[in-house]
Amino acid sequence: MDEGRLRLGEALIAAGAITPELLQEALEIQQRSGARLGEILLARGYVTRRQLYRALSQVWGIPYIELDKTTPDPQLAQQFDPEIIAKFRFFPLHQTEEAVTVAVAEPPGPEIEAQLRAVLGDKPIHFLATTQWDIERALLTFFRGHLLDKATFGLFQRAPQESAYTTLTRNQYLVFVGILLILVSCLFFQTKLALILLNLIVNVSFLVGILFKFVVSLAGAKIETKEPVTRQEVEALRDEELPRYTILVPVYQEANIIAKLLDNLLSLDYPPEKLEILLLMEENDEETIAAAKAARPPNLITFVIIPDAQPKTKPKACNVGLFLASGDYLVIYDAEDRPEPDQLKKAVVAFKKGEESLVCVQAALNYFNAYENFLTKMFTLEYSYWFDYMLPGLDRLRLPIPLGGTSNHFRTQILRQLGGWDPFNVTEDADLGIRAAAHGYTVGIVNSTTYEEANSRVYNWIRQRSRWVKGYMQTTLVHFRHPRRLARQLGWRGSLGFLLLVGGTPVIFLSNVIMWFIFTSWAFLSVHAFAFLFPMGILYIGLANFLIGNGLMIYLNMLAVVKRRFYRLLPYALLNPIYWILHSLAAYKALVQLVTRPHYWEKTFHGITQYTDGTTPP
Amino acid sequence: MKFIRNWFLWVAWIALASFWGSLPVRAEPGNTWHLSWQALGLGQNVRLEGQIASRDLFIPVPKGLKPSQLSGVLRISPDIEDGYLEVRSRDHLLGTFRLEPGQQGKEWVIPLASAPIEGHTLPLTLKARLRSQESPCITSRIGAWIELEDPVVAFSGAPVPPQKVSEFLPPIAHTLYIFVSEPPTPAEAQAALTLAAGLQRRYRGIKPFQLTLQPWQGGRTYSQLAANPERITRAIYLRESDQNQIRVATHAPDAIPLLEIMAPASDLNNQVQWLISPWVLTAQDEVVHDLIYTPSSQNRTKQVLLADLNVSSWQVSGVGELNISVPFAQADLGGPVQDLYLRLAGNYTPPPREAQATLSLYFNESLFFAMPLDSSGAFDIYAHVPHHLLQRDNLLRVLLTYTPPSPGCALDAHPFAASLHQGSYLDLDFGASPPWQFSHLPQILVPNFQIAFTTLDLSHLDAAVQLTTSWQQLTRALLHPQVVSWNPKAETSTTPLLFLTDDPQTLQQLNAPVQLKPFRIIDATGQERFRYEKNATYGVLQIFPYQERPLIALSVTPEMDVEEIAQAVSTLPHGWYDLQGDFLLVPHEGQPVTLLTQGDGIHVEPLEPSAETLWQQWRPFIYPFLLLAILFLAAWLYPRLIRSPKQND
Repeated sequence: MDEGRLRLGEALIAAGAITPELLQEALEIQQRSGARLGEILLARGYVTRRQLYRALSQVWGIPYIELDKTTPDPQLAQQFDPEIIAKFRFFPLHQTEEAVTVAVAEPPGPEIEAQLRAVLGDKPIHFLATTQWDIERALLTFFRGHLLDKATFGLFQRAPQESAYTTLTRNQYLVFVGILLILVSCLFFQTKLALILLNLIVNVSFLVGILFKFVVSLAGAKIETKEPVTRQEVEALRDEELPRYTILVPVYQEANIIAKLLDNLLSLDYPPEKLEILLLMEENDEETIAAAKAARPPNLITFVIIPDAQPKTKPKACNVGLFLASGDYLVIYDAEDRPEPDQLKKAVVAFKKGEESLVCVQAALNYFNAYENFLTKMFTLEYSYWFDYMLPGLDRLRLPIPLGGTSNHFRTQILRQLGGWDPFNVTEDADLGIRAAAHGYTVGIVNSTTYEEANSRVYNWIRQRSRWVKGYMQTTLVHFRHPRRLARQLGWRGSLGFLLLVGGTPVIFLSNVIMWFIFTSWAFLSVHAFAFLFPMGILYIGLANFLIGNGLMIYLNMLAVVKRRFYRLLPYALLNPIYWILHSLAAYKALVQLVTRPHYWEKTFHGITQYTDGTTPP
Repeated sequence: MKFIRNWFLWVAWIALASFWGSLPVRAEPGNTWHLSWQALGLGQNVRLEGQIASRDLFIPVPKGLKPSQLSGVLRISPDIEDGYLEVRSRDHLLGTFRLEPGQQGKEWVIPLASAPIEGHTLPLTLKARLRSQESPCITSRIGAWIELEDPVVAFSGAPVPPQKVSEFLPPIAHTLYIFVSEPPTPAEAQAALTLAAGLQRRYRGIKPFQLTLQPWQGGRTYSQLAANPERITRAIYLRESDQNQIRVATHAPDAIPLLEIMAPASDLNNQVQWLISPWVLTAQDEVVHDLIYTPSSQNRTKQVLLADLNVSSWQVSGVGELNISVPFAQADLGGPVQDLYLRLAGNYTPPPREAQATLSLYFNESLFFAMPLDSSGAFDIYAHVPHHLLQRDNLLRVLLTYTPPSPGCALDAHPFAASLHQGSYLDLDFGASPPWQFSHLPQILVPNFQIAFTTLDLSHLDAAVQLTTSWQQLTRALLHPQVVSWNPKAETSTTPLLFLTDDPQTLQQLNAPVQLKPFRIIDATGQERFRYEKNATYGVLQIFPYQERPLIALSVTPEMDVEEIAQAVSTLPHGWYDLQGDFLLVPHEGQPVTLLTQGDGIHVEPLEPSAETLWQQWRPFIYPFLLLAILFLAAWLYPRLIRSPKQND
C-alpha cells in the first residue's frame, strides 16, 4: 500500500464509522481469510454500504455519488455491454463534449479505463465512486430489456435445440403423429392384438423401469460405506482457501418465511465476507419484497428485483442472479431450505477432489416435517430413497444425474458457459444436469443434506408433482430431439439411463394407474372383459410387476428410511402403491399441461407446514 | 349380382346332380348296367329269416333294359349247418343253390336272364330251407338267417327314351329336373310343388335321388345339361300358357328326356296331378292335348285298412316267435292322430293241449295288448293304442308265439299257422295340439297345407320345393301343398302354413320367437348358449302357433340365400328326421343348430344394442372419423407444441 495514500481503515475511523478495535478485528480476519477489508467490514455489519463506499471514494481520491439521486444518460449506457459493466462494476452517467462521467464501485484503474476507452475513445473520464448496489440497480433499470431477454431467451438464442421453448420439433411432431396413426390403425384393424401388444409394451417398460431403479439403487447403497466428503476434510479447510460463494435464493409469494430463510442462510458455516447472497424477488411480488426489507437483512444479502415478464419462472430469476453473481461457486436454495451448516464447505471439498469436468455437486434433500401427515411421510420415504440411493447410484454408475430442485452447487463460470437454466423448462434443474452431461461435464453428489418443507396438502403436492413430471417430459423431448447425437454425447449407457429414468418416469406414472386397474380387475375381481389382454407371457410379467415391482419399491423405500433412522416411517413403505396413485393423477395433469400450458410454472406454496419454526426436525 | 350368384348356384347344382346321377348306375362296355338295390328303391339288403323262409321281390325294370343277374355278398348266420335256396320268378325256377357255412362272405350270383318281365317289373321269389344247430324255437328269436348284402342287379341293353307321355316317368329315376320360368308365376309355383311332392313320393325309396328346380331361361339351362346315358334322368318343363298340352318334347337317345306341360293357370296344377296319377298310363301318344282332369277330393277316413299300409306278410307259420310288422307314419294315416285303436282279426291253428300259443301286440316296441290263443282258432280284437306311444313314425308288430308240446321243437311236428284278415284296420281320431314342433311334420301337413311367399322368385320356390320333398320322404301319403297369397291380418284359416319371408317386420308382426334382428338364446339355467349380433348372416326355420294355426316360417338375413336353409335340411344325414325342437338356425358359416324354444327350457331373447353391436354397426365410420379427428388434433396441437423462434412470449 502506498505511503502517501489514505487507507480504508483510517478513512473509516476518521469518518467515525468504526473504532480502531473493530478495524483490528477485521484486519485479523483478513489475515485468515484473505478477503478484502471492505467486504469483511460490510459482511460483518461493521459498516454500512454507504459508509464503506464514501470512505473508499476518499481512498480512491474521487467524489462519491448516490446513483438514485442522479439520472444517467440512457443513450450513453446503451453503448456498453451490460456484462462488462457488471464484471468491472462501473456505470457511465453523463457525457459532455469535453468529458464523460462514470460511476465505479471498484478502484478506477487501467482495466476499467481500457473498457471505457474501447467505447468512448480518448475523451477525458471523470470517475465518481458509488456502491455496488447502485451499479446493480442501475443495470437492472437501464438494461431491463436486455437482461430479461438474456435471462429468458439466452439459452434458446445460443442453442435452440437445448431449449424447451418449443415442446416438440417438427420432426418429433411428425413421428408423434405417425405413431398415433399407426396406433389407431392397429387398434382398428387388429383391436385385440394391438391392445395385447400395448399391454405387453407397458408391462415390459414398467418391469424394465423398476429393475433399472433397483439396480441403480443397489449401486447407490455403496455410498453407505464410503462418504464422498469426510468431516476431517472439511475441518482441514482454511478460510483463505475458501472461494467466493454466491447463494441464489429465488422467492415468490413467500413473505411468511422470509425471516426464517434469512436465519437459515446466516447460520451457514462459511466466512460471510466470502458469501454473496442474492435474494431473487419478482417485481410484482410486493408483499415478499416488503417482508424482506422489514427483516432488515445484513449487508451480505442483496435484493435482486426480477423485472416482471413472462415466463415468470424460477429459472428466469436464477438466470438474472447468475448474471449478477460474483462468486466462484454458486448454489441455489429455496426459501424454505435448511441446509446443513457445513454444506458449502463440503461442496468446496467435493469440487477440489473432483475432476476438472465436475460442474456441479448435488446435496441430498430431505424434509424437516416428515412426520406431519401421511403425505409428508410418503414424500420423505420417496426423497430418502431418491437422494440417498438413486442419485448416488447414478453417480457411481456414471450415468447422467437429473439435478434436484435446490442445493445444487455449481462452478459459476462453467454454468455460464452452459447457458444457465432453461426458463422454459419447468424442471430446469433436471434439464441442466442432463445438458451438463451432454456437454461432457459431470455431476457429482455431496453427502450433506438440505432440509426442506414436505408438501403436506394433496392439492399442493399434485401441483408440485405435475410440474416435475411435466418437466421430465420436456427434458426427455428436448434431449431426444437428436437421439444419435445424444448417444454420441452420453454414450449408449448414459442415453439409456437417461431414457429409463427421465423418460421412463412419466411413462410409468401414466401407465401405472391403468395397468393396476386392468390387472387387479382381471385378477381379483374376475372382470372377463380384460382376460384377452393377458396371454400367458404377459400374465407372468404383469404378476411380476404386481408382486416384484411393488415389492422392490417398498424394499428400497424401507432401506432409505432405515438409513435415515426414520424407523417410524417403516410401515408406511408398504403404502407406496397407494402413493403412486397420486403420482398418476399428477402425471395426467402434467400431460394435459404439456399441451395446453407447457411453460406454466405450478407454484408450490411453502410455509404451510405446522413445523414452521424448525424446532422439530426429524 | 344376384343373377350371377344364382347362375353359379345353378351350374353348381347341375354339376352336383350330374355327379350324383352317375352314382347309382354303373354302365360297362357292351351295354351292361348295374343298379344297386337302393338305386332300385328296394332297400339295403335281402334277408330271409327262419328255418323255412320265403321272400317275394319285385325288381323294377326300366324300358330297354333286361335283368341278367342278381349278385351280392352272402352272409349266413353262424348256426347254419347247411341249407339251400330256391329262386323262382312266378312258376319259373331260376335256380337252386346249396348253402354251406364256407360260403360266408362270398359273392353270390343268381342268374335272372330267363326270368319273365311283367310290364316294368321282374317278380322274384326266394325260398330258403336252413338247417340250424339250434331248435326252431330258438332260431325264431335268433339265428337261421341268410342275407344278400349290397345286392346289385345287372341289366343288359340300354334305356329307351320315352316315346309316349305314359312312358315318360320310368319305374326308377335318379335325377329329375323341374323347369319353370323366372320368376315363376303362382300357378307354375303351385304346379312345381305338386309335381315335386308327387315325384318324391313316386321315387321315395330310391337313393340317392335328386330333384332340382331350375329356371327355363328360354331352354338355355336345359340345353346345358349334359346328356349322360349312365343315369336315368328326366326333365319336366312347367309353363303357364294359353295352350293346353302335355308333350314329350325330346326323345333323342343322347338327350335328357323332356316333358313339356303347358296349360292356363287354372289348369296347370291339374295337369301335374294327372301326370303323377295312375291315369297317366292312358296317354299312349307323344302329345296330350286339352286334357281335362279333375283330381279326386281329399277325403280322409277315420278307418285305415292295414292292407293300405305296408304289411310285411299276412300269414306266418312255424314255431317259436312269428312276426308280422306294419310300419307306417302318422302322415300315412291321413293326418295327425289324437287317438288310435286297432281292430285286428285273424285265424290260427288251434294249438294242441300241451302246446301254448299267445298273441301279443306291440306298438313302437311297447306291448299294449296280449292274449292267449285258445282252441277256437280265431281272434278278433279291438284294442286302444296308448296315445303316448304314438310317434311320427310307428311300427305295429303282431307277435304270435307258439311253443309246441314238449319234448322237442321240430319243424312239422305240430305245425302252427296264423293269418290276419285283410279287413283289419286302424280306427282313428284325428287331431293334434301345440306346442308345434318339427316332429309334428309331416303329419300335420296332411291332408293339405299352404305355402305363402312374400317374394315369389326361383330361390324361394326352390326352398319350398326342397322342404316339401324332405317332408314327402317321410310318408307314403301324397302331400298337397297349396300356394296362397297370405295376409296375416286377415287370418282365418287353421291349415298349416309354410311361410317364406325375409321381411323382419312381418316376422315381428307374427310374433315369431326368433326375429331377424340380434338375439340370444338362454337355456333353463340362465346361461347364454349363443348369440347373434347385428350383421350376422343366418337363416331360421321355425314352427310356432299363429292364431291357433301352425306356422312354419323360413326367413334369412339379407346376405343369406334362402336355399341354404333347405339345403341344410336335405344334407342332414337323416334328412328331416335329424331335426328336433321347433327352431333350426343355419349360420352362413358353421354348423346348423336345432333347439326347442317353446316351453320352460330354452328361450329366445332379443338382444338390446350392446357395445359390441354398436361397435360393429359404427365400425365402418369410426376409422375415417378417427383419421379425421387425428388430423384435426394434429392441426390443433401443432401451434401448441411447435413454436417458431420468431414467436415471443
